[in-house]
Amino acid sequence: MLSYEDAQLIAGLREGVESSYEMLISRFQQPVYNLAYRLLNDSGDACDVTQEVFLKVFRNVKQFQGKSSLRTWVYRIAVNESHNRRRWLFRHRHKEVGLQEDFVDESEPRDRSLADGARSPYDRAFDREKQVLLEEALSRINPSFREAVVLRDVEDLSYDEIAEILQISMGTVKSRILRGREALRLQLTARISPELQLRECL
Amino acid sequence: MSCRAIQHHLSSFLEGDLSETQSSEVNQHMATCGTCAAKMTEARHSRTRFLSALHALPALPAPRELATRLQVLASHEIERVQGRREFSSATRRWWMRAQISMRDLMRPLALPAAGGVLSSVACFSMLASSLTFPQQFANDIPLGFTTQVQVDQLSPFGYTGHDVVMELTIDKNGKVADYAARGSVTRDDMKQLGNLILFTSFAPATAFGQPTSGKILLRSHRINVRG
Repeated sequence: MLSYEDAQLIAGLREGVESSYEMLISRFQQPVYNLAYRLLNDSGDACDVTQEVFLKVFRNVKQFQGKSSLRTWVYRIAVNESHNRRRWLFRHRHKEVGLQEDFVDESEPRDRSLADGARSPYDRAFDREKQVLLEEALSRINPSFREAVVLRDVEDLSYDEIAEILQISMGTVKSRILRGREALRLQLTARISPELQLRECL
Repeated sequence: MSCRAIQHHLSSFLEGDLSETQSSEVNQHMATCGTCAAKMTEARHSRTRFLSALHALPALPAPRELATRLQVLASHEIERVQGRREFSSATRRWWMRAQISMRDLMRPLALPAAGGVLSSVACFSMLASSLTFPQQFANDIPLGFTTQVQVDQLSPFGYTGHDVVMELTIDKNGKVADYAARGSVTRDDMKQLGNLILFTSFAPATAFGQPTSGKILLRSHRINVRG
């Protein structure tokens, strides 16, 4: 189950070899952050969760038995941590008072999408619009559907891997993905053409 | 299958989530119904667009400070892991070094030390018979003993009555707690005896050095002094 590189990496982590730690971080920092961001829709929370995930990986690498691949294990921790974070936020967020309600981070769009010289500014604006819509829709659907859809359609994992990460059966994975996509589509259509929806209702 | 049912199953069909019989039914319907086929094509297109849009969601570059935080975390962890490993190996090294230095120390010392011990034993056994220890027990309280009540000082007044034996109970303060006379005692005798008891002082009985109550028998004789 465990590839040779993964086994080497894990042995290095257990021994406290610096290069192994660096390799783990360089391999998983971006995916874990990405996943956490997609699940939580907040950069700060995603950073905190990523840090928690790595701490857990470092601390628990001794107990890791290699029954699943390293990636699946790390993703599982990331999904669980995001889940915990979301629950925590649900309980605590409403008590917080935003200091910068109207603050718009101007640097964000430039940071987040890499410039593509071949595309016109119009195309890029359009892409950006689409992306924002998708992200919004993603953040609105049921978290358990979102986990499945993000893992399948954004992170491009196989059904097997998703079943292992979420610790659910294959059938449940399929149904969650299906229902998640459906919910996402509904969200998007509701966003894009509210008047259309209205007309259908009438 | 009706057009309505087809609408209902459209997304499941596209996701490949229908049973074989159901999907063949849908296919059959598509072959005959142009409207549904068009809708299906449209839905398939929109699904592809939608999925590719999801796929195309750009990877968000993690903030630079996250990398720093992770590096700090990693270095702490490395230190912790290595520290723990080093601690156990250091203890083992220290123990081995201690054993070696102990052996090095003891080897040259073993013969002289054994000789010293043996000679001291020999000296002691030779001298032991001639050893005496001065003993001073003068002020010792005789611990394992009980002592009887004793008359400290007899009354200066004499007794002129009949012969009598008295049993006195003396408390731990040396005071007479009770008395009983045996024999024929007259009232006058009793008075004299009372005086006798009153003016006689007693040392109380002791048990293991502590004064305690006790009994004493006093025999009085009439003393005739001729002259």
